[in-house]
Amino acid sequence: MIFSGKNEQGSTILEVLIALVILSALGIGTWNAGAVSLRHAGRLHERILASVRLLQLDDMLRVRARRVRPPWWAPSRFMETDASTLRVAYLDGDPSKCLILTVEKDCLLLNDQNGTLRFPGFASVELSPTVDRENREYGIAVRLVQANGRPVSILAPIGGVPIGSGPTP
Amino acid sequence: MRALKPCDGSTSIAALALLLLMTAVAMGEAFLLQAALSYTARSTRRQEVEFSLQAEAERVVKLLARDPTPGADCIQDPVWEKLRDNVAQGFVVTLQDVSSRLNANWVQKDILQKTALADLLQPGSTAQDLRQRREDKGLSTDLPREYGDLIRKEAIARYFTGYGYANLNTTDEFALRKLYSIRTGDHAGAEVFHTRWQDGVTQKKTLKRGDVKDLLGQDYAELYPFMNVEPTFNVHFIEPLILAELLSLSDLKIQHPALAAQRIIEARDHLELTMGALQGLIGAAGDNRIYQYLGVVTWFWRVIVVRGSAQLHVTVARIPSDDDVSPRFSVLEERYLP
Repeated sequence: MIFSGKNEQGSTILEVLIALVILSALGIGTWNAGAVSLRHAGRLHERILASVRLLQLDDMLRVRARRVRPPWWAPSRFMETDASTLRVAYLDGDPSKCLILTVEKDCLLLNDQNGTLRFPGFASVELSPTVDRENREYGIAVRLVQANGRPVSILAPIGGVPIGSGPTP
Repeated sequence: MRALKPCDGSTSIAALALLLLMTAVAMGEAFLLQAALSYTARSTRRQEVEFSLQAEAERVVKLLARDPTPGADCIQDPVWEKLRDNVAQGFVVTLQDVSSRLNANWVQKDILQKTALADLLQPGSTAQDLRQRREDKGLSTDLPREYGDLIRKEAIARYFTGYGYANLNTTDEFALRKLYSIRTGDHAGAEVFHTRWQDGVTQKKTLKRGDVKDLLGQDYAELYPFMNVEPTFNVHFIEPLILAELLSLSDLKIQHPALAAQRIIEARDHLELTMGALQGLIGAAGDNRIYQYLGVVTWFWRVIVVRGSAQLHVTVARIPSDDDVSPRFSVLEERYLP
């Protein structure tokens, strides 16, 4: 380093210090902005993924539920349910073929006997048949609580509903 | 100031790198968001189309329910004119009577043995084969799959159906037993019912509306309206071949069956027949069993709504009632295609 004079030496150090402070402030600001942006981007990413997964579940469930076609003479109640499983007969109109919904830990499994689809990431899942005023099962109800605590309900109508029983004599 | 130049450069590179990183993250999120939005948009569009098809089908079912002459269904009913009301919106609506055909699940052996309707079976197949298939594999609405090897393919589409109530006077006795078993889950009870039905038919020949409750007994709530004594075929929509062959059944002793069939076909083209008018055209007494086959009401309809490439097939059943004044319909199936 060559110093041309006292005044210049002093002002150069001051300039450097000011520049360093400004750069540091800018750097810290940028770093913070970057970190906040990344955090928001991460949260947005999670939310978009969760929404898409939910939409996919809604679509897949509705498509499969429509394939359940009990004949018009079938008993009014033909869905079997227990704590973690809902079995729906008459998949593709076949009484021996079932659409099976199962809850495993945080996962909802959808089995149409051709394969199983997994939908993970739920705090809780409840499955039940939906019943109309005539006591006929007409759909599948799935009540979910997402990992972020938001509750969601899906009602997927099945493709056919048997005739309700007539009036009692 | 010169001494600062290298620092300036590195700061710029750091800032650029940070900008690049943030741009990459933003682009990734943008792509993800775009994919999610287009998925949502597709799903919403599909749902909108389906809702519109459903609303159109519901409109037609409401028109059926508001028929000013609910005691008879024919081509002159207002619903047929109003099918084209929403053509401008792109809807093409078709209405079909799906119960005025031979029900492959219920049809008696005699119908397919003693008439020309035997020709509808595949070569080498018999009415007994059909009955045995029902016993072995149960009942089905998917006729091509369950009965395709017994009934000719073109006949299934035109003359047969899987929709229609089981008339206690005209349904095969073993099919009734099967239906009882399915509805109640009581196989032993089905056997008892079978015996009771045989006794009832032997004593009364033709069961009337008032006999149904007695015959079905405690299981009435489970079995009605699946089993009833309403005439199966609506003469306004029945295929001429089936009409002529039913009228020619020798047990029914109809005078001039061919003439009666011709009169009905001529009359139905321009007026709505009542049961009284039908009896006049056939010429048989009111208690003849032909009126268990032939009537003027359609029990099962199919509404087909097409809009662009989307289709909805809705099958509805009319629930029988004693007064026939305010018909009630129950939606049985909704099938979206493709």
